[in-house]
Amino acid sequence: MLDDKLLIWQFNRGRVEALHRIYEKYKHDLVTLAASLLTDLALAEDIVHDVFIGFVQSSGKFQLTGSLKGYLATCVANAARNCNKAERRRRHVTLDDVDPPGPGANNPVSQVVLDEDFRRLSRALDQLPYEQREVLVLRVYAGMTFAAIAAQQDVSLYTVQGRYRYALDKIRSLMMQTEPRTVRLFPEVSA
Amino acid sequence: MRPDKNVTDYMKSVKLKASAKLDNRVHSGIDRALAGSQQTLKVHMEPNRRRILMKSPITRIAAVAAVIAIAVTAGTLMLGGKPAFAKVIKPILQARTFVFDFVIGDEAKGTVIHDVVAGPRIRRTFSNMPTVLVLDLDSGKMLTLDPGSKTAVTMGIQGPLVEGTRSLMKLVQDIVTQIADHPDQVQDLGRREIDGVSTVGFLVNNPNVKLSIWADAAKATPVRIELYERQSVTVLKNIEFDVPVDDSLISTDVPAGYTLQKTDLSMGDFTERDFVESLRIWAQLLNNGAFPDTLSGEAMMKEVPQFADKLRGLNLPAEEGVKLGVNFGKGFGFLEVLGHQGEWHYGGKGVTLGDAKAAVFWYRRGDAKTYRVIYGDLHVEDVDLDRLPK
Repeated sequence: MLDDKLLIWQFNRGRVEALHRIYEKYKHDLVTLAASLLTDLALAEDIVHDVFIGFVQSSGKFQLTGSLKGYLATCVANAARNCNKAERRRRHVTLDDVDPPGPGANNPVSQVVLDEDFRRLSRALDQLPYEQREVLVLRVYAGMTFAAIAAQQDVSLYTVQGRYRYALDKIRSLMMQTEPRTVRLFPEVSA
Repeated sequence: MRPDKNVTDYMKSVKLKASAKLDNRVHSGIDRALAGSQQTLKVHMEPNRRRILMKSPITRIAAVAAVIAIAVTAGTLMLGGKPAFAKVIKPILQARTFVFDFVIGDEAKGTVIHDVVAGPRIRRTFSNMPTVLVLDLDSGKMLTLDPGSKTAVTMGIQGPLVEGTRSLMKLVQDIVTQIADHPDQVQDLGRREIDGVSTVGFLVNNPNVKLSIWADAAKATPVRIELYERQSVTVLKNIEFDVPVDDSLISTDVPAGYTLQKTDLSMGDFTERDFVESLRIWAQLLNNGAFPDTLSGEAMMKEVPQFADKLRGLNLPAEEGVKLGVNFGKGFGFLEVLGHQGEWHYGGKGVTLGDAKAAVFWYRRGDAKTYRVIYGDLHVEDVDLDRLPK
């Protein structure tokens, strides 16, 4: 989009407000993406923070070849994958482990923690093999094509499509098992 | 609805928000990181800033680039007919130079374009901007001058631009030829005084063109021509013949004191893709994400000052600014040419950029069986007549 191209052009000229605007534009999507991959909100925010701070270093030489959102999503996914392999074992604080806030709390993070829908989704995603979860999340939240995901995962297009299908089936099955609300959400399956 | 779509819809409905804490961390982190790499950034920034400062007035040239297509293709008419000299056309056909003004749309408010024509060369100026164009139709080259910044840009204009411009000059000749050859298509409009001159008027109305021509009653030379096309009218006035023209005025050499800004841009052809890009620029840059209420050369001309302001505000480098202007203009060149090769309809009023269901523009060339339909998200489809928007 023209907007993103202009922001990147300004960013490459060292205009700090451009990077702030890029963050504001995509922050919610990226946090959702990272949290879905890691099912760990604190880690997810760390990842998004690190991606943007790292992005600063590319000022002056960054070249946008696809969509900016896709690029940032790939950065987040790569960082999340690395994190998943190592740090997550050391610092396993899931959404379920975070204490709910007290009355009057206005911290968006706390509000998110209270979000039953995401908690439910997070539990389901956490039971998927990481590669399947990554495909599903990149496809749904970052809007990436299967081809782009295949390149990101360094596997064939066929493999990615298979992972996506398995992930969808598994999520549907998991959410059907335990949550009454999903029955309403997926009437065709329950019928 | 498919179950898998329900899963993805459900996921999309579950969105997190970045916390205020993260906002603070990222914003302050960005500032610190940029400050830390200030020296590195300076290396990147300084040449660019210097370049921008030197060339920022070129946004005026970019704005002019946007209207070039409109200005030069406005006269794309093929009247046909062979010269059969009548008293009124003799000075026209024998003239070596023409000087005239033309206005597209509202004569009182529209941009007045002043042409000095000598053979294949034209010097063109505008009432609402200082930029000067010099076109050489033989070589297909255009020189654009910005007197304020003393900047010059050259550009290729082979193709519809050259042909359209050539037709504009030929228009004056063909009009009177038409009158002489087909008197049955000419209606006498009587007498009228124009700028203190007593004139006689004729209305020419045939399948190719509808226009009125007013000629000096005493000298039998045209002084005003009104060309009607769709909902718009183009007026040619202050027409003079055989006016002495200094060669330097119509030279495509860069004048002394001007700096040539090199570009590889061309306005040689106008494609559907150019037009789609024009729509995007108009909606995104000029109209807060919505498509304009009306689409015409006249409407576009009115946007030119705003377009120049917007470009200036973006602080784009010269090349990108000119490119944006050229893109904008090429799209409307497509529209102008299409007006003579087919039919088109505009339905963008009230449509927001990104609306994939709303048809914004549809057209077909000649007797094509299907229409090309451009939607609000700017994707294009071939659509049968019975599926067109009502």
